[in-house]
Amino acid sequence: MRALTWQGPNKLQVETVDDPSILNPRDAIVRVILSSVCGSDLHLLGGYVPTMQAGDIIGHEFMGEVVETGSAVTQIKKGDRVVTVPIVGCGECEHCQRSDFSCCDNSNPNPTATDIAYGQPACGIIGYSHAFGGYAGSHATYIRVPFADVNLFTIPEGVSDEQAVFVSDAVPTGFFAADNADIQPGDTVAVWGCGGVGLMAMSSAYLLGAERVIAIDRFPDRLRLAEEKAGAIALNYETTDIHAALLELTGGRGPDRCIDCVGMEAHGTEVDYFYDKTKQMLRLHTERGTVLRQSIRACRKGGTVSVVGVYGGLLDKFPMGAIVNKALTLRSGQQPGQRYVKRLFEHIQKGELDPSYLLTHPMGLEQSVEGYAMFKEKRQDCLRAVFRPE
Amino acid sequence: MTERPKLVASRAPVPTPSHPNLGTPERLVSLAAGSLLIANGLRQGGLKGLPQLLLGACATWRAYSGTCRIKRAMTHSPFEQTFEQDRDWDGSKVISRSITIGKPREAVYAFCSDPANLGALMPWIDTIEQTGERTYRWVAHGPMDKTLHCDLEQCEPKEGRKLHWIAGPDRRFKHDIQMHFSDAPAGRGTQVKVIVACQTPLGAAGYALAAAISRFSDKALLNVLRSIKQQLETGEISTNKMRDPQTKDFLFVHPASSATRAPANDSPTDKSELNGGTV
Repeated sequence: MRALTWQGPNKLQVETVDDPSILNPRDAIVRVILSSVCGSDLHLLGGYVPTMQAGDIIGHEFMGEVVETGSAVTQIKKGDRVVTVPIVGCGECEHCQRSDFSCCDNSNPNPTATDIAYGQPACGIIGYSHAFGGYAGSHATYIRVPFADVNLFTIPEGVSDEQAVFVSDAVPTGFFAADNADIQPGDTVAVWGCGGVGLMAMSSAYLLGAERVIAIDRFPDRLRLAEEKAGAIALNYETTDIHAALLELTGGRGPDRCIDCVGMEAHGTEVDYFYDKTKQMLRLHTERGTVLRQSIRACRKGGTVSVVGVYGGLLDKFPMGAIVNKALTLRSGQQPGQRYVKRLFEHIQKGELDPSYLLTHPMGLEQSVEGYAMFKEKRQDCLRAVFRPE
Repeated sequence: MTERPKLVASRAPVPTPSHPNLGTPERLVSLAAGSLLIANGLRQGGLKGLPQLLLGACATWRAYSGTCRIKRAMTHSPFEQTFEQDRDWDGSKVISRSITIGKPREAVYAFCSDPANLGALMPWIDTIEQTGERTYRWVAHGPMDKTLHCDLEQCEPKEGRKLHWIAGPDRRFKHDIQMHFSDAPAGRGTQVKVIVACQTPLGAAGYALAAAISRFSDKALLNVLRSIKQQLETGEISTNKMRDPQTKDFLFVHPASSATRAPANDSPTDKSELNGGTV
């Protein structure tokens, strides 16, 4: 089959690789119909996530058709049109039983890397480095999905492929971010990052009762989408003092809930950004914390900061003092989408949510290298390039 | 009040000038060496003399304070010291890992008490041969196509609570492996604590070598415990392979006189799904 493989930092290649096969009784093989780029792939692409190996197939946000199932798969059957949650849950461990699928104990075949880095092994994530299991990704003709009954969801009638593909990651991640923020009726929610996840977090915030959403980014096309599609007040941080603007918009209180949908490659205009960038280039730390610092500083006293932007390692100049002395709650995690998929499909079916506008650049898998370049450089207002393997 | 369990993780206390870990002879040697290094460093001067000066200063400080972090790192832990006294060993290096498995204690114990189950989860084990009623020969493939073997004797188990193996008495360096089983709180299954001890020869050098090797053993132990948990909780071992590599060919060999073996586990899968088999 054909697949998009990582060959080194900022080096991708489409090549012919072995087809996957059923290896465990609870596996399924899915023929990929649509597979989307994701902002978190850029961290892999840039070499910021260690334990990538040349030849690794990337991609984790996808939908397709089941073509084969293992002997123990009972809920999903051949021919089903399905979407996959890429944060792999086993469904059996105590974390999965609590619906904390992203804390799964059993889905990472390589537990040692994250055991060293984080103190306990993290879950497996499809197409997201060997630290998270080394699973082959979805930018390919076929993909093996472990624990199929837990991680595959049949797409209901009335939900198109272009909507369903984002229920894999962007929509549940955004919804999780808003859910984690503990939004109360009347709250003002500030969301940093107007990519796919950020836009979905804004829509989700309204679904969960927010009165007003403020979107922060620097790309005019994305800020326009935040206003037009997500109903947010858009702020461009290159032309606005974000902290002052957030206080001005909230009567000096600060946003009740702040959501970081940016992560380790945050961009900024202040001196801390250049400090972070220099240390990151010198490999003295792994994260750029501009957004985290801004959100913690801006958040109202007693508020919540919800983090779904990807961070992988160590961050310098973390404002712990503000968290303690403003009594903030900091919540984070990889998305346990299995919790939300059915609810999200219902929102789509009722017309309350339509993520299909995220798909700005459909293309074939053979053009995926160019697709990533376009996505990374934000060319042609590319919000998401989505590949359709032939 | 809950009794404080004896922790493998306990360490020798951090030395301070008020609680030194060096004796008078060690401090005198350190002072003499430090003085010589400083004197020689000053005599030589320049870039050659600077490292001697710094080293001499460290040695002198070591003598003055009576504290040495390197000696602390080489000091056997309280658990190891107790273990050595119990076993009458000169030295030992002990590692431990714990895991909680969401299955009843009886099921976890039954699974772990069968060496065939454990061997099938260790990719580096080729065969386990039962050589006697309680003795087993574990054969592993080592580096450079070397075949390694280890004869383990199973001690009298504490049913449902403890499994215990020791390396055969004729082995040069003894090993002692214990698995302790207890009920996890709030119905969360079974806590399994594994303690692996190996006898260390050659004093401090042997201990340092064992400590270095134990870093790899610790990761291997983590992988084995994770595999046991995966097998018991999900019925399979997670893998990131694209296709079945067909390389694992584990065999459990029974003695000719015995047709029985430990009771099978009640995990969700049968033995044929353990990527290995028995003969």
